Amino acid sequence: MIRSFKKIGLMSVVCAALLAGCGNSEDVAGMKLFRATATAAFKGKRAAKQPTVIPPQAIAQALGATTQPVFLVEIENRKAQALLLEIAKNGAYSTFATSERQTITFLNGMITSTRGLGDDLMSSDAAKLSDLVGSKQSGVAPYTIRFLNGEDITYAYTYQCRVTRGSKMPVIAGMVNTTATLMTADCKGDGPDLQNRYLVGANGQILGARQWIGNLAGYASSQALRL
Amino acid sequence: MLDFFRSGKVLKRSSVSGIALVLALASPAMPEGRVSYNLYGSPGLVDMPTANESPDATLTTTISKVGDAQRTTIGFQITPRLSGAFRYSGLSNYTSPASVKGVYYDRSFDLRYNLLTETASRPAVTIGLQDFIGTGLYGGEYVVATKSFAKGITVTGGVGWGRLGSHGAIGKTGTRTAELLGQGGIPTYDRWFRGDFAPFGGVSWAVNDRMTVKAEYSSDNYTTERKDAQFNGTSPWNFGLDYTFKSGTQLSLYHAYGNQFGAQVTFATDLRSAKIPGGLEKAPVPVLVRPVGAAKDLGWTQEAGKRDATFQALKAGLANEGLVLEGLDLKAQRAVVRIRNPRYGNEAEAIGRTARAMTRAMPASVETFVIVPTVNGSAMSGVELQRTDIERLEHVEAKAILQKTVVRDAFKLAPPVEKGIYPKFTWSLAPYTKLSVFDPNSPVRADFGARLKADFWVAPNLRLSGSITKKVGGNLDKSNRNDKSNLPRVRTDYAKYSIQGDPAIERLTMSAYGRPGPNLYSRFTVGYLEEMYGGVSTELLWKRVNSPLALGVELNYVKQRDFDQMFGFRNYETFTGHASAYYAFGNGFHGQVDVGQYLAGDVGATLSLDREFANGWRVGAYATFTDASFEDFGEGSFDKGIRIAIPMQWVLGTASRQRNTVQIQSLTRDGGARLSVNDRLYEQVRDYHQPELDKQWGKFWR
Repeated sequence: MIRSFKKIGLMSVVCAALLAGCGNSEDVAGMKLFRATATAAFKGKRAAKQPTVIPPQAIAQALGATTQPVFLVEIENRKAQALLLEIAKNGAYSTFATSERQTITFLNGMITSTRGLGDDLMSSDAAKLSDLVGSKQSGVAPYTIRFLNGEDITYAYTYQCRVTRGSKMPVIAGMVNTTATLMTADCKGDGPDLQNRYLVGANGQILGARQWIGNLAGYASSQALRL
Repeated sequence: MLDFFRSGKVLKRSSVSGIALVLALASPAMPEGRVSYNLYGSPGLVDMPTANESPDATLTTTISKVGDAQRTTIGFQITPRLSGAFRYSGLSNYTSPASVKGVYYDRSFDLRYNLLTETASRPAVTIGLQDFIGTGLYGGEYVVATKSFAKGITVTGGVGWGRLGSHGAIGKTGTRTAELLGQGGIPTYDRWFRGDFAPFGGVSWAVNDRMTVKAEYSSDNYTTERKDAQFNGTSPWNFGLDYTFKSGTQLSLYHAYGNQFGAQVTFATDLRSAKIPGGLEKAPVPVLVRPVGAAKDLGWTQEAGKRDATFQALKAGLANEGLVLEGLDLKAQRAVVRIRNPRYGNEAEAIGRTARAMTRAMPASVETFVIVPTVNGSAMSGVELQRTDIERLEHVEAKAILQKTVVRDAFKLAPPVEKGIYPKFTWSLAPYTKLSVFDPNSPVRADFGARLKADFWVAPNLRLSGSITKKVGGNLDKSNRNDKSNLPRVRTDYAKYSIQGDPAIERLTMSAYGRPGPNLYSRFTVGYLEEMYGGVSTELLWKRVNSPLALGVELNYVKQRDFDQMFGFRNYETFTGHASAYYAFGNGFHGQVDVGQYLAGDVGATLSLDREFANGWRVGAYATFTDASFEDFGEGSFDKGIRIAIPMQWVLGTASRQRNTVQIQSLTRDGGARLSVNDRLYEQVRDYHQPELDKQWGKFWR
């Protein structure tokens, strides 16, 4: 007990000197905020704006380190890329995670939800669109995507998407080396007009895509490196 | 290795409870149409109002100065048509016995109601009461119409009474009294729409998305300022230029009354918007779906140590989410878990993360999950989910799982606390600020220093707790107010507490919490309850988990503490207590009535109404009416105030249970004063009850 008091005393001096606040309590008033302010002040704007591009060595390393499916995803307006490894499967949905504990869930290669990116895509009714795109047929499919508003209440954008079949092109990335068909979905509805594009492999699997995932993140490009 | 996917924008953060600062730094862009605010912080031109309204739920802070008048206004759009404002003004060069160094400070409240919204063929029409409570320095009423035309031109015309009928009057409706009702602080209904009335109006032109020029004809003669101050305006014509930033912040420059210059800044924030909607907290762990047929395997029930292994696995899983597992009752098909949630301000998110962690820890045969969140060792509710639903509905709309969720009373439902968790000791040392805003003699007073807090949990529901503060600097003790009071001085000696209480024992208490019966919650606290009182405080609350109504009783016997806030007492002791009713109206509004005896022995009731948002924002007002006469109460006549709670999760953009409440009391007086004891039950209990959980359910899968 005496030792722990001494420790507290010593730490108190350190805390006071840093004017930051400390303790073992889970809910220290002001502490989090103070630290956040200090971090923001020291880090400045630039640090967070650094674009992150995954070098080829890192991709090779990631593919070598696991036998699980791997995706490379880029958030275009943040110029940030991430490698995601599959961590869970639930029916037709597969969830992939970054090492920073952000996750993206795919339905046959189409992003249906995100977590930890900010303004996350909470859920999608994308089965019909995914089926249509995967079938490499032109046509129309309904599509709904849901988000949380600033009050943390769910809102949805409901779309009708016109899907058109485009040309065939080679897809070479990571362990994927094949030919795919470009499918374009032009979606009109409650939200902003969208144009999502999908590269569909021979078996109907979406290998790569550029799709809109929310007002904050905008378009995300995804590329399967191993399926 | 990977540090990306972060939001491109650095979150600006602030440790100040000042609303203006928080709004200025953290306010997201205003999505809706631009409203121009006047020197009073109301939708308006320069000094005159318009009939426009802010978008619903907009909180505005305006700081303006024109000539010798400085005005700070907090405004809130209470409903799409109703708005209110609180204003604190400082008039320099003002000759009055109440002036402090030549500055006269005044507080005022406004209310506006939009009678007609604008259509293609008719203007918007708004009726407004300016400074309708109190001394009425800015007292005036108006009916105003505003119509927008092509090319960004907007025309406003109106009729004003009181101050707004003091120049160029064209008629008269009755006589306007100058006498004060009570001791001030009462709605000045005997003056409304009486006396001279005069027309006012103006034009504004939005040059582009950002810039607006304005011209107006003012019907305010500044009669008082001409008489008691040095106002010498020569013209009723005012001109202004607004610049509005993308964030909604408005900067304005004015030329007014022929020879005055003015400037203002207005921060506007829609409380239903956020910079990072949904927050930036890390992703939850996904559901682990059981293999087909696995649920039939009951072999594990025979395994020794399986229950303890499951507990440890789930404990680690929950710790990963910032949640604490404290108990587990594991049966072949049903598991009841006892948790604490120190992290998530959105309780549905805490429940959702617990449910997912359970899919990874529970043996496959366990189909029913019952999650019992506890606060101070008391079980708040039992949220029952079927594992099959969790597996099936993970990737669909959050509403779907809500329909399958049962929330029940947790009386005798929580499993016992695991051995080894209690007793527990926690402590913290952190900076603090104590703020006194809009004091009648000074706009802002503040103390800052260090606060050492410690809690010793003897048992999950039994806590010894204390906090000590040491002031480092500030000017709270500079308050030279020595208010006369005909009541026992239960609150008006606050300056003495501030001067002598350094260092101070803020609180030193023992509290016990319990569940005495179904739908019942209890608290017992004894010790130094708050900076001015020590004694015994007991509380009993009745609330059904699915009901918007709660009823409570609180009884306290307290003795006034010495000014030095150490262990001694003064010789004032009293009984104080209330019966309370709380009701969630379901449209975001929340009401409370407390009836009982207050600290000074006066008997009466407090009425409160708050608008609450799922993201944690709350804006509200309260008023207390007791049998203390207006004369005994003194200036202000009765206690009233507004309060704004700022959720830290909104400011930080990530999960937090903290909330900073800024309380603006009209005046600190002795009538209608309540004990400020910690951990009143209702706030803790309702978080985990419906309808509150339902409202937040969108974050269940976040």
